[in-house]
Amino acid sequence: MKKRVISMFMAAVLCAGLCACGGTAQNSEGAAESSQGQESTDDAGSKSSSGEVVEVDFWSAPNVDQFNFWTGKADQFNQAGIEVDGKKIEVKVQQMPESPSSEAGIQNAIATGTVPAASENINVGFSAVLADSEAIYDIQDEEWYKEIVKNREIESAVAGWELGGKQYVIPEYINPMSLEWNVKALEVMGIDVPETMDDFREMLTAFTEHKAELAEIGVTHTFYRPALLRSDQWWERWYDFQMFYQSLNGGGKWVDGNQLTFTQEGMEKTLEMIGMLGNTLMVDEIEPLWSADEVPVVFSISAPWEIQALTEAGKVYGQDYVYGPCIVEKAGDTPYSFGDSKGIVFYKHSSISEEEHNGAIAFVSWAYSEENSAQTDLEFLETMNMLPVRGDLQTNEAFASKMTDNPAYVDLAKYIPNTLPAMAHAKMTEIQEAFTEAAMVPYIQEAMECEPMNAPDASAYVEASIQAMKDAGSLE
Amino acid sequence: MKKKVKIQIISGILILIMLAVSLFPFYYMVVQSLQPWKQVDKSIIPRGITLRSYEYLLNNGGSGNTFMWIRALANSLLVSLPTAIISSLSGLLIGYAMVKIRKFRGQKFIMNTLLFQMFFPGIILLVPKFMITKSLANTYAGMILPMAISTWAIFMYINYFRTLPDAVFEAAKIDGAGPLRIIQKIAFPSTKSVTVIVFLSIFMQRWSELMWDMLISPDISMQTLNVLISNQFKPMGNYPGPMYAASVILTMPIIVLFLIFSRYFKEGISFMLK
Amino acid sequence: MKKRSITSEKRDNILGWLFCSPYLIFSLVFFLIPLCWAFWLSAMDWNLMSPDKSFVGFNNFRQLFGDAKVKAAFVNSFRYLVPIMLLCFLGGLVIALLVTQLPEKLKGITAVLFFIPYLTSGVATSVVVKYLFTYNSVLNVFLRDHFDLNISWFKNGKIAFWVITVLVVWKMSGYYALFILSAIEGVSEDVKEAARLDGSVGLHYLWHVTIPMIMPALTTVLVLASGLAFGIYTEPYLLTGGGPQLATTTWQLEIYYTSFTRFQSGYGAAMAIANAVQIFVVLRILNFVMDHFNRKFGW
Repeated sequence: MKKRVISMFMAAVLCAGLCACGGTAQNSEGAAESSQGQESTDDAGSKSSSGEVVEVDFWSAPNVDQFNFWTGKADQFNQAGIEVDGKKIEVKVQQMPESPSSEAGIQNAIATGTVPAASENINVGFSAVLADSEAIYDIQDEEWYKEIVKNREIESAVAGWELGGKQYVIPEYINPMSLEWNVKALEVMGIDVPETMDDFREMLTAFTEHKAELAEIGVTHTFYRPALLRSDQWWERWYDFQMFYQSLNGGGKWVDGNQLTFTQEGMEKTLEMIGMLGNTLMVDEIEPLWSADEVPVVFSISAPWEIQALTEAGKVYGQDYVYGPCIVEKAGDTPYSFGDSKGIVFYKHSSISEEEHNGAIAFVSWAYSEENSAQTDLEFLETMNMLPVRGDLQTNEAFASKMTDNPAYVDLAKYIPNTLPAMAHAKMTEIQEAFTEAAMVPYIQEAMECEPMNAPDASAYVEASIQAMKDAGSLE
Repeated sequence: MKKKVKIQIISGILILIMLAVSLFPFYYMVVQSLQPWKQVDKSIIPRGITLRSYEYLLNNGGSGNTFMWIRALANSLLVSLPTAIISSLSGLLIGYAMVKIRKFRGQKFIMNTLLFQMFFPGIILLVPKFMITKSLANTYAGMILPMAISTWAIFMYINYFRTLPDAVFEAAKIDGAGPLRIIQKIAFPSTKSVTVIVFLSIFMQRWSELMWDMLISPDISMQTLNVLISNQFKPMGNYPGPMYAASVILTMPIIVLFLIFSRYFKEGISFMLK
Repeated sequence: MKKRSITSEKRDNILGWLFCSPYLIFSLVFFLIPLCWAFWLSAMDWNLMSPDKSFVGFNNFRQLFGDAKVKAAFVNSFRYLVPIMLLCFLGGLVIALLVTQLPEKLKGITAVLFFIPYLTSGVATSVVVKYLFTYNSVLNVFLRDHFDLNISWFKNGKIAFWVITVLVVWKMSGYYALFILSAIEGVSEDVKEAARLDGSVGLHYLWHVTIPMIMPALTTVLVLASGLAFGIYTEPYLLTGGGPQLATTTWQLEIYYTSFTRFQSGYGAAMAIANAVQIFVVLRILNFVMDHFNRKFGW
């Protein structure tokens, strides 16, 4: 009897297994469809005369809000029933995989041929990697591209996206990186938001002097930055090293063409500024940080995408947290900083048909058409709390009212003109990794042994890192 | 006699301490998954119980993809079950062929291939295997096939069949039973304890696989639960409560399965040693 | 009669190949072809996506020698190997010996309870460890308040290394204990009886009777544990990313990063081959040493 039960169980399980295998081919589609099953019924009425449908994949950045934003856009587009060459275009939005970074996810998809026709979330550095592998289309000569540039008045912005005289990316948004300060802690220390090196030193002195009072409101450390000691998270160097370098040194490019253009002196200054924080640095992870009842640090790198969550947690801009510019050498200097700017690219791969490619173009140029572009960018600002790349952000009435709504935006928008992009080099990953390993991690480890204001000498680390970066990226 | 009791008591206490250490993470995981969110990681003893973390997973878990977590759990099952079944069945057939079919041409060659493959470090194959399987990216087949046959399972069956007397099989053969019938009626039923161990172990290994699934099936809708949780290890913006809840869901099915079948273990484990 | 045996031989041939065919196809597609491919790839410079790949001969292998990551992976594999092998071995042996002292009824369930950590996915344990070790977790607050200890669990190379080592040992000990337990239980009554007559008890019994009798099981455990040390991936991937400063990195992690985040597939293949050579040599040495011991105990 028992044997029978077991063999029946095995048979049943086997059937289940076979069904699972059989269902494989459709499943990935079925799964994706279920997320938009709703509108497929709505669409039935608006099917094109020929009845043929071209499915176009579009990947959003790996977060809910951007996914929702693009899904909404795709729904509108699909309902508009736009046709290319007599075939209806159906756009399907999916979040891009992030394993371990979205860059790796995209490279993986190109290798396996599962890459979509287009995606957002590409910065200039990664577009250089992709262009170098001939994985994306250059678009500078396309009429629709020129149209989009004109509609959004971004002639000057696209200059920063040029790679070897070609354009590959439609810039979407820019996130000017700044510092996020704990207002309660600043009040206890009796100082304003630090902006210059002198302010910064003053802040550190005040921190040491008011240690006991700060401890009462739970503040134990100055700067929260777990990524400082993670060499696998090379992309984090944009948000700590590159940003501080540019604010302290009046701008500057990390790599220009095939030349390492950050100066040794400037790099030392940057590292020593972070090193000055010494044992008040917080490199252990804290979750959650800014929405916690007691925020244990004085400042961190800004994260405007958290504004929504912070508001929900009852945190008020200006009372709990406030954005401040990156630290500059002396008053009057321009606070240059890293502009985390991402855009849309069109992938070139044998698995993407001409029809799909044209469909993706139709979708993107529809979203940024003369009549839709303002609406698209405004919706983006509203859902993402990140600033779209637009020439008329300050002048266009639609944006101006939105911007004054929330003081956080106003502060952020101020920094946009001073932002600089990531390096545009095919070996970006290797170069930033080499820097992290040779300079950032060992230097911070040494600095964390020291009392604040006693930054150790960074020259040896910087020298080593220059050699390491040159080796890693075959730079001069 | 007294001394023996003493030893028993001391070892009993030691065992309790060691068990506490070895099971503490599970206790902690379950407790934190049920804590109110403000209390997560703030105390070892539960300060109130809520299902909010589990509800969060059910209600699409902070992602735009509906039922992302449930789908991931289903994906894990749909990958692990077929893998375990194919591994056990093929292991049974090959084990039988290698031991109970007395001699066939090439048997030795196959045996040597098996041994070679068993002791070969699989990491060498990572990139080329990825290249071969890449057309199956984001499918169940891509996750199942490259791991569908386990040399370990085959050797478990080989070791087992070696302990079975040939007489039974010979007798059946003389009675005119065909080979499939012999396997179905004699070989398979007698392997119960080995099959349980092989099946559960392969199931467990497949369930816990990370690197391969991450590479071949990164698509949000095709991720396994293991991959989905590991992708949440990002520096910012995660609620710990749901992560604990997801870990509980990831861990418990396997533990329950093994506890149910644990009585087969002592018998089966002896075949691992040969 | 003769005719029948010929047909049955023929039938056995067909059956044998038929039953083995799934395996043969599998090992052709997922073992032999990839194996050849791996060697070909190791002589290439290719990022898995670009249409052009270039032949670089032995350059990838030459590059291995100057690579700090490869060096770290090589050194770390031994740093992991020694404590993991010893601690898993000791842990397994102690658990098994303690469990044998228990009354017959409790033995089974206790052994199974110790086995539970082995069943847990490294991802789930990493979740617990990650959050348990965050700065303001209950553990760290307790350590700060009561012992004035401020431990940076993952940012101090030594501590991070031991966190991962202990995690692996915790996971595997109960599993290895099952092997040892099953061997101890298998010691025949005759041997036990003879030992009792000789007056061998306690440590003497352990050293002169139990250990020699379970030598094969101990060998298995040691070999398995050493193989394990080379396969560490999930925990450092999720908890430290191999850092800080490569203190916790492993071969698997570096090969993964090289091939799939830096996309140097050729170089990754070369690293994998170097790793395989190291594993092979270490296991040969281990086998040789264990054979020596086994022979000493008459196995």
